[in-house]
Amino acid sequence: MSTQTVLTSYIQQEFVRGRKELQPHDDLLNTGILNSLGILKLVSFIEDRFDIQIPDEDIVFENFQSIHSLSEYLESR
Amino acid sequence: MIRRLLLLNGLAIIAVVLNHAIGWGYTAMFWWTDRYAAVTVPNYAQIGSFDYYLLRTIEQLVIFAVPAFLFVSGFFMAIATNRSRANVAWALIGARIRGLAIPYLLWSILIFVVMFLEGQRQSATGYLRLLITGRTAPPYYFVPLLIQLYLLSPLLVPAARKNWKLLLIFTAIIQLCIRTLSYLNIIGALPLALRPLMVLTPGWFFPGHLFWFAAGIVIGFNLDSLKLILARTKWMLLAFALILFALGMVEWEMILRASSEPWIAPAQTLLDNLYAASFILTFLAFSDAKIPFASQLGEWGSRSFGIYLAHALVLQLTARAIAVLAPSLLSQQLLFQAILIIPGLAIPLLLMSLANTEKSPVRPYFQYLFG
Repeated sequence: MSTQTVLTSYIQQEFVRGRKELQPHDDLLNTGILNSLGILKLVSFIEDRFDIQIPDEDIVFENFQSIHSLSEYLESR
Repeated sequence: MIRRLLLLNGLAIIAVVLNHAIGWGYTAMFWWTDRYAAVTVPNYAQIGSFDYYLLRTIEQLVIFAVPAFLFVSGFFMAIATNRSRANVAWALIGARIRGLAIPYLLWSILIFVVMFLEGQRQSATGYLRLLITGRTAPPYYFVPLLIQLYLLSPLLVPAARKNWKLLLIFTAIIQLCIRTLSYLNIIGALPLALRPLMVLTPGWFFPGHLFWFAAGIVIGFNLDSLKLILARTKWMLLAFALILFALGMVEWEMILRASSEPWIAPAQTLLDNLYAASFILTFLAFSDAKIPFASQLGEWGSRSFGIYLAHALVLQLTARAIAVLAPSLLSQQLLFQAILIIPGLAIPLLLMSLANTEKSPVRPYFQYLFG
């Protein structure tokens, strides 16, 4: 499964919960899909699922704004 | 270190439930004494007893909780501010406020229904006042408070970027002034000229808590520098936390004596605030230390808002049920606290689990119920 698919599936399941069909470029932060705790939970999931450590300095708006931006960030590592 | 914030939230929500269970412990100790002893109420004979100091010790220990929540919320504002923008987007602030306000409103309405069934009636203005000031339930002041802080974010975020030292000093001074007013009021030494300023001191109003949120934003923007400082000072911070905890216990006894009252409702003091700051920084400084049940704590941390919303009603109903069905338990504080805390945490978590199952009809509305 691609990184984007894994992320979409997780965010859809944990945060959206069937309210809408998530698109890769949907704004996760400004629409309230991800709040402060949501970002922290998502970071935990990513680290466990992909067996990586996300440096604190990479937990920024630009990387978490959408599934697309997050996928791009993860694939660049 | 950022993952540590989820654990801090988990610890903080346990602390919140403990703190409010202790409130019911005081109720049992002072106002429900006639249900298990032949006395009139209020009865303060148990002040100075083992049970009283048990409650006081836990109460002092967990006083970091609200500062921790506000700190994490402020930190998130720093994360959520685009590097290329000078300020946080109003769309994001709106989303955060909606995420808080809708569940808060729904749970408040539920509590209004319970109040109504108990014969407590309010006018429309009365209900509105309860909502705006967070007085629907004792813990609910936090939501109006956090909404105000989010609305202040467009001022705080640029200030944190441009001159974080000035921001921290300014917000610390404001908070110190509020604490001073509270001190003077408690011990009956508030000058007449300063009495009008007491309108600034309620828990739901931002001045008394501004520093924590601002500190979260500042640290969010300066995390690398903070890590270096924390690495050098972690044992000192731990020592401060322990000392300030002990001093906070002594301070409250002195305040109680100075007030000439047999008992006064808990109020935050300057030493409490210093302890909370030390606790939070110590927790972050020891970010490599393994915490038991970390995964569970993190899970509870991610569900902290839902637990926060639901636990108040659970504690209230459980305490009142015990008072009616098994009043002798009210005199067994250790047991009473355990009986409160377990459902206080478990029932909100159960409700959230049930609401989140695949076949649950309320699953699409989970965010509106539990945040």
